Amino acid sequence: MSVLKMFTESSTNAAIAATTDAKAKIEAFKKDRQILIASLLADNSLTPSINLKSLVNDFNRAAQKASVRFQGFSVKDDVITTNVISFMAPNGGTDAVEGIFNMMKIYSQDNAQANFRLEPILSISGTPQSRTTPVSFKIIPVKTEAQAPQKTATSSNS
Amino acid sequence: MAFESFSSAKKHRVYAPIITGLAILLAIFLARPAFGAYSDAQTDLASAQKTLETTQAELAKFQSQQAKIASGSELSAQINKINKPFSELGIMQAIFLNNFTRPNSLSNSSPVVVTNVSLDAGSELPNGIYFAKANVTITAGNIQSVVDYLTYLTTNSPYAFTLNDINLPIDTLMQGQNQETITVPVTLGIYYYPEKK
Repeated sequence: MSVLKMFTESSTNAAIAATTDAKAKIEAFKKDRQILIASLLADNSLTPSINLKSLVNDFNRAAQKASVRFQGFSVKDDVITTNVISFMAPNGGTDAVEGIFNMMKIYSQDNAQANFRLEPILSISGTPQSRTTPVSFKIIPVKTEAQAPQKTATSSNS
Repeated sequence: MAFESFSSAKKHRVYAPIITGLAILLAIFLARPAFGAYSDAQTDLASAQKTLETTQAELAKFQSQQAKIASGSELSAQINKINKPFSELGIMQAIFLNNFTRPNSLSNSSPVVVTNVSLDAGSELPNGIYFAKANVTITAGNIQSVVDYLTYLTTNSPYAFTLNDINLPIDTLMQGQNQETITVPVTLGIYYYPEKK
């Protein structure tokens, strides 16, 4: 039994030594400026740059897809704010609000499209021929290379 | 004679279990401390191995970041944008002098004119990086020129510009039709990381 205990203690000491070595390497990494910045990029501590051109293109496409009109484009703190105007369909229809409902279904929480997600709409005004409401879209951060898992090289022994 | 041997066998049947039981109790009494010590050693080993696993997982993340940086990728370029001091000259040059502000004979679009810039060096964030701001007023012949210029600043310029606050008169019904000159105020953020003295 004492022999087994000796072997176990030896394994424990080896694990402790390996942990100490790994912690020393981690402390060295933490002092590396490039590694620090990469870590901050990886965990979204830094606001990623928005590609404004693709955002505006997606914004225009969103209006077409939902058959509504967006008037105004304001971006602040990763939120796009605009006014939505919906008109009654040329072939009739019950109410212009149907266009806004259509947009809500397309860009709602559970069905995010493009690079943004529609925030809750709490008020709508206007007439059955034309409805309007202010809306906000939360920009969904695109996964950066820092956040992507590192591809591991495979090698084969021939 | 036969009676005496019968009594002796009977005695052995009585004494043997008692002696065996006493021997087992003695063995347990003697072995218990040793077993307890071995059990404690096993617990210590399990704890040390768990700590090692957690530490190695954390180390692996840093090694992964190092490998990505060493591969000279987009990540490396992003890091280089941030890993520099706040340079008023460099930032102003990036904003005022680029392909979007210079007249381009190959393009039909008019250049963007930067009419006003004011910088604020900002301060250190809790994560150790610094965050500055630039208020810029831009005039252009159309919205698309403004969009292209700002996209360049926030993606391909030498500094880590971010789009903090912008208001564009976009109307999706008038897409492509609005060619009037517009003037737009924009607030840009700038990440930087000076050397500590």
